[in-house]
Amino acid sequence: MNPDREQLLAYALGQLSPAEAAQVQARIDADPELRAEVQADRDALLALVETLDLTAAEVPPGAQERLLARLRAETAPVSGPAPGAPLRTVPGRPVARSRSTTPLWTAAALAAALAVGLWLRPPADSLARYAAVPGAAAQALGPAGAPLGNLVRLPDGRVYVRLGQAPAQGRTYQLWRIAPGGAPVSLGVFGRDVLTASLPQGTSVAVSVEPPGGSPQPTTTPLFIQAL
Amino acid sequence: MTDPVSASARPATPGPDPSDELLIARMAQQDEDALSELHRRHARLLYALGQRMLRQRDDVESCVQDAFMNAWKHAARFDPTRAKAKTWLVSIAHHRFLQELRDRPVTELEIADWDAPSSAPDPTDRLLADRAVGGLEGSQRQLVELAYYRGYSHSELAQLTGLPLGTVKSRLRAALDQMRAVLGGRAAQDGPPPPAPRTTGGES
Repeated sequence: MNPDREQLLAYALGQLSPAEAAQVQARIDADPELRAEVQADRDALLALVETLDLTAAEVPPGAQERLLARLRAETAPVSGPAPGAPLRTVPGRPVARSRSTTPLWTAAALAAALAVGLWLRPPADSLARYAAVPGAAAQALGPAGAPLGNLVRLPDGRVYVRLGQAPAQGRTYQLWRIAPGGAPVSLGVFGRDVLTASLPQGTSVAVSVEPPGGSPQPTTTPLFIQAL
Repeated sequence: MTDPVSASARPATPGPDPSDELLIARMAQQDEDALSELHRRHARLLYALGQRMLRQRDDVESCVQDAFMNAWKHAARFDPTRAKAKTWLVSIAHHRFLQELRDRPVTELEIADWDAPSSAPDPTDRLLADRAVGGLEGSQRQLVELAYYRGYSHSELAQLTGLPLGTVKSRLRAALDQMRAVLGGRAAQDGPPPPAPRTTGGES
């Protein structure tokens, strides 16, 4: 098999690592013929999906309304979650699973991946994955003898925070951006880990324990305040 | 890309349903109704894909939401001259489901556990797709499905199936070539125009 075709097919199938996919993406961007090849592969793979039995696929009642609610929540001006706002619009999702309970994490990760035309292919351990990014800076959070978790600042300014344990039942972590002389700005609630949008160098972030859905302002003493 | 401004002007009287491509152009202009309509048209397909890939119903809604949210956020980057809207949307969802699979703890999948998917009972609307997939030899189809629905690499597929690596690669390629050949007729009928050089922007 022609190596180009093999790699393009692997790209269309989603088999490549981020680095490999980025290489292919760069070639595709520069070559309309390669791009047409990938599109043809994707069109062919669509046939797999089109032959699935759609009558067996259940769209949960209210799914569209929950999508729109999420859209409005995520596109509204950010000043902290509304008091009492649901943490997540999808019912039945455990709070502790951060990737499923933090729109911020999801939006940031997915937007970043799409921005280069591919998706992250993380290993099982997210902390190790982010810490391994070239140029990333990792630091422990909290007291030296009893660290609360870890923070990784990525080269593009995004910050990944992972705490050592999930919040107590009925509580949630909330990440704040601490602006000098101003009120803390919510960066979202999370279960155990969170990835922020890009933050400027010198920003300080803090984590407090809050009621489900978060608070407009911290209601407890922050677990830590960390300068980036 | 087509001019979304003029294309998105809404008719004063009921007219033909807007195309998926037009809905995406409207989404790029923050039209929530366009997102709703795209969801109405394709959510069931994406749920079917998610349930096939994740092999359970948990997490599917979250991933489908993510897919539509990303379609919304990147609608302006969609280029209808380069891709069909449905392919674009399914690709976004496919990658999200793969990410979900890879975020899960490692679970072994025995090849004997990989079942054949249920086919649509009424294939009249999907006749060509059914012909493209149904025409694959059994081993080819299994490899394509394991690669697409599970995200397995070539080496993982070789290990899982016991086939030599070279055989895995050649059968996958042959399968895709065959599917592309069958679908070529459809592409000529309802596919997008041939791709044109583009100087800016990323993948659509």
